[in-house]
Amino acid sequence: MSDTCGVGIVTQRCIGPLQVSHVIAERTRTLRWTPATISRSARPRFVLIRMRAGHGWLHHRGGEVPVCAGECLLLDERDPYELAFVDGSESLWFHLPIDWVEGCLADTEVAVAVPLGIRQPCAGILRDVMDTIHADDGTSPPLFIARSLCTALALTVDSIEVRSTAHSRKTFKSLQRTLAELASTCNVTVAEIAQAHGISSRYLHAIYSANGTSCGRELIRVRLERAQRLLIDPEHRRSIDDIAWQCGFSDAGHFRRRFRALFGVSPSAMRTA
Amino acid sequence: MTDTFWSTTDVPRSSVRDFWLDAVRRAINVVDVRIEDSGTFKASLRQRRLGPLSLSHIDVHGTQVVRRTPSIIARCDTALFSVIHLRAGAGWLKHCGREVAFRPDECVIVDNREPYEIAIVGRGESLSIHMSPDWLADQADGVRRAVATPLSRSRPWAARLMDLLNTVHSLSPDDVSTDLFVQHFGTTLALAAGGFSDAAPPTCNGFQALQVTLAERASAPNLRAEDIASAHRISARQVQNVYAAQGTTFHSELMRLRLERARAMLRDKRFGSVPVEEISRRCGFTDARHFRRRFRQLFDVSPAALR
Repeated sequence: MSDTCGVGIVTQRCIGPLQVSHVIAERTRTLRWTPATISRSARPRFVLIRMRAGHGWLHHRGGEVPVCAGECLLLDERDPYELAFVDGSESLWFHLPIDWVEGCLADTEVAVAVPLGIRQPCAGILRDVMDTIHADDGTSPPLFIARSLCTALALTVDSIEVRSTAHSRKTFKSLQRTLAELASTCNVTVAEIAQAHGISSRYLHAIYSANGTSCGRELIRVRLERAQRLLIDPEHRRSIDDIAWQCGFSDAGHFRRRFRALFGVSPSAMRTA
Repeated sequence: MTDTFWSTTDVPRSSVRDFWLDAVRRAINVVDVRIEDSGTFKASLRQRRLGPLSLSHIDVHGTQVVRRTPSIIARCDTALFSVIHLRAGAGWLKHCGREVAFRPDECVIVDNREPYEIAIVGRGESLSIHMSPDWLADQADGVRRAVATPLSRSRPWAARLMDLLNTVHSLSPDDVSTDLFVQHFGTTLALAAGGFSDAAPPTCNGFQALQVTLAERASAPNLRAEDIASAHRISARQVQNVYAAQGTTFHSELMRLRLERARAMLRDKRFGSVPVEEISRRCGFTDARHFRRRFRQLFDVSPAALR
């Protein structure tokens, strides 16, 4: 924090790799982390901020986001930021070493400058963990405290809206591979694909929507392609209803409609063609 | 991922006790159940598998006593630890020579290798998490010492533990990554049950204190013995001496920590799309080829093959 005029740091202490600060601003204040500050900073870190009271604005990484009481925000000190507190505010600032954050989040880019709040089911866990660390009497082992903060952060970030980053595109491709592998032989569920990647179904859906499709749509496509292979396979003389059932469609009428929509011909026409 | 559910609602009165006993045995572990009045007794159990853990929500209307006796333990010795949080109602636990009253703002850890008796008087609604002793041993040493000791909400980390059970119970399984929940539960449990550890605090032993600092900073690139030394206000030579006295060196400990961290990251499915070069960088290596060589030396497998 370069411009600390009118901003009171009530307490500041280190707990293992974390630096924990309790910050109170009496009036409207703007904190600026400028390119000059970055060049002076020996060891840039991530900052996880929990707004306990008041609200404000953050400019960081080319975007402007509002931040409200109850929300948390992750900032990267390697890039400039401007954080404005409107009227009075109270916040907790946790400085985390870059390697700790990169060790708990596969994709840090997706989490920076995103308000973590009511839209994330696990944000309450993160808020409570931050309050508990702030109030800790110093008897708990610091390494466990730092780990607990990191796992709570990862749980919260697991449910944010995914932006299209290099990592999320890669994850999407790898999810698509798993989906194609599993769905081409058996009737796999979305939850099973998510589990195979260690993420929640919610996060999986977010990755698909960031890449302009949905997992349900992709699953149906792969199953229809499997049905098409079975239909044109001369060895496989099963009825169309059987093939629909085998590929996970319990309703043959639904199967025929979806098939025609994808391939432009009906299943029976595909077979005789 | 889906929950398993048992309820006595549609069970004939005469077989309520047998049904309930069977449900508890299937879902949790082998016990004996005594029900005071099977004419009015009602109970339900919902269980969710969470990787190595399972979460049970039990709702009991009526008085019951659940016993795990020495003879049951001798017959059915699948070892299991449970964290039990009574959310509503009243009861008590007799375990390891202690008698503990259940209070809604407390939770307690039970070790099924020792006999216990759990009574619910009139009404009880509980959330519990079950885990194997092996899984628990990987989390922290001190947890076993907290068995049969009420962990009160006045201990902030115990409050977090109970909040975590309530949160995961209230959320849809789709909203939470099982792997991350399991990791977070492990650290929270270690913090909640900590303080019972009689292990020497790290500052009492120079080596342990240095190891803690090293674990905090191992992934920082170009970390030198001087950096750890200055954090402890001693010289780099003193650091080397402390490690030598333990039969090791600063550099081999640093290497081991970094490689173990890399292995954990490579095994973590969330990091599946992070290239091996990037993993090695995040663990403090500046040369990916050097990392691969060292990794293979320690674990007898290449980083890519581990995935």
